Amino acid sequence: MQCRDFEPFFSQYIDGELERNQFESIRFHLSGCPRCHLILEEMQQAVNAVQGLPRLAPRPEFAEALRQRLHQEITQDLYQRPEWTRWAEGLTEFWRAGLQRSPQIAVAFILVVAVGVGMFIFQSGPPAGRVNETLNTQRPAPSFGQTLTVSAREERAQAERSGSASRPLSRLALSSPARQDRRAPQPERAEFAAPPDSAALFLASTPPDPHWVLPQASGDGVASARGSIVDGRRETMHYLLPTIPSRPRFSRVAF
Amino acid sequence: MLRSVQTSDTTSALTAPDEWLFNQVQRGHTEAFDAIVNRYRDRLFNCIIRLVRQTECAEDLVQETFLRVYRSRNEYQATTHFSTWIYTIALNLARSELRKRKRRRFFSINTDPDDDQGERPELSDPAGGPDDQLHHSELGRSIQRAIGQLPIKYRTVIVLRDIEELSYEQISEVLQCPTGTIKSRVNRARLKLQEKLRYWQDDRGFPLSRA
Repeated sequence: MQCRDFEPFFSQYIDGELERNQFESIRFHLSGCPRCHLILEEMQQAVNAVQGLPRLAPRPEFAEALRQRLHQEITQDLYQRPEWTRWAEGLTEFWRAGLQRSPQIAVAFILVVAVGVGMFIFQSGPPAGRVNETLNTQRPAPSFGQTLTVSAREERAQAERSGSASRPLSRLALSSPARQDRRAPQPERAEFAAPPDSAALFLASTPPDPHWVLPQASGDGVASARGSIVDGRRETMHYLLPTIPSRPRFSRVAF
Repeated sequence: MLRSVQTSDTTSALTAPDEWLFNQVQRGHTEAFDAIVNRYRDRLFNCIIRLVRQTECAEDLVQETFLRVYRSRNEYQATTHFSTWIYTIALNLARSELRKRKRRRFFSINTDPDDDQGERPELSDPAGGPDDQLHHSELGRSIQRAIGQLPIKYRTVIVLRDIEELSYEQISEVLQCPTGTIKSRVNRARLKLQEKLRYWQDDRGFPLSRA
């Protein structure tokens, strides 16, 4: 073996990390090689010099400053800030760093986020094709700002005819808050309200020839549904239709 | 209100293993964290300042280390030594700081082309000057400068092995490298350090062992 074969083990030789046979092999080589002996001796001196460096301590005031900072962190943590505040801080920090590094990238990021949020909002309504088709072919066109009342019998008949292709209104009624708690005693009569999406779904699934009655004014772009349950069955359903057809959310419901 | 360790536990907090203490922290006994801080504050500072060579920066990194340890206390699992875990966090922060400085130096117009590996202590802290503790003697300053001129990976293993006196296995856990890699890296680091110190020894004419 040559000197370069022993050199990678000098450090472990000094640290006493070698196996017995490796240790003896290097010691034998060192006894006959002054060059390697010198290298090893210098390495030992360098290691001793580094190990002899004094241990450095932080400034005296650092211990108190650290204690206060950690106490603040622990107290803050125990009070459990809401998670959204951390997210808000992170986004604020990201925005600040983005402005410092490249305002163009920050503005581009915000635009991408805004476009993404906008697409999510405008695509979250009911499927346009089915609603339009159903309403255009089966329903006489009402005017906006009307309240319509449909009998439950007609709706159930339509649900039986159409199967499960569309969601019958009775399910909307049954899933209303008044019917969710089955352990509670059932009231003989209960009022319920359905969200706007339920109204749109009902308009797509109810049969033609509803009783269009009682035109009423309604709020701009607001659609809501109200009804009543008598003896566990929904008897009437009132739909307040939007008054502005160009409203994006309801523009899909074309009458 | 902060919850405190039981009275019987307080006396044992001085001699208890790190893992037991940190387990108390995980259970909500935040006073056990004070014992950990007292145990590791100076050790981490001595390790980090040998790498970053600025007192204020080292103190900031020590503080950040403890904050991260506390925030991620529930991620620690007792399958690894606590000392290994806390050194890993501290060294990651220190090496990140050194990389930031290297990038700053790269883009700075005041870069000294001769000093490509480490920064000179005289230039590293223009406001307060180099730390006096690092200049306890001419030899100590030379050794510290020689360590600072090593590449980061060699500087790290020298500090962990010869200053913090961690075993090769502990260093391999801290740096997440195989033990064989750490052994050869320590050997190369010592050879490079020895080469840098040889010039100093030749100039001064007295051996390093007098440090």
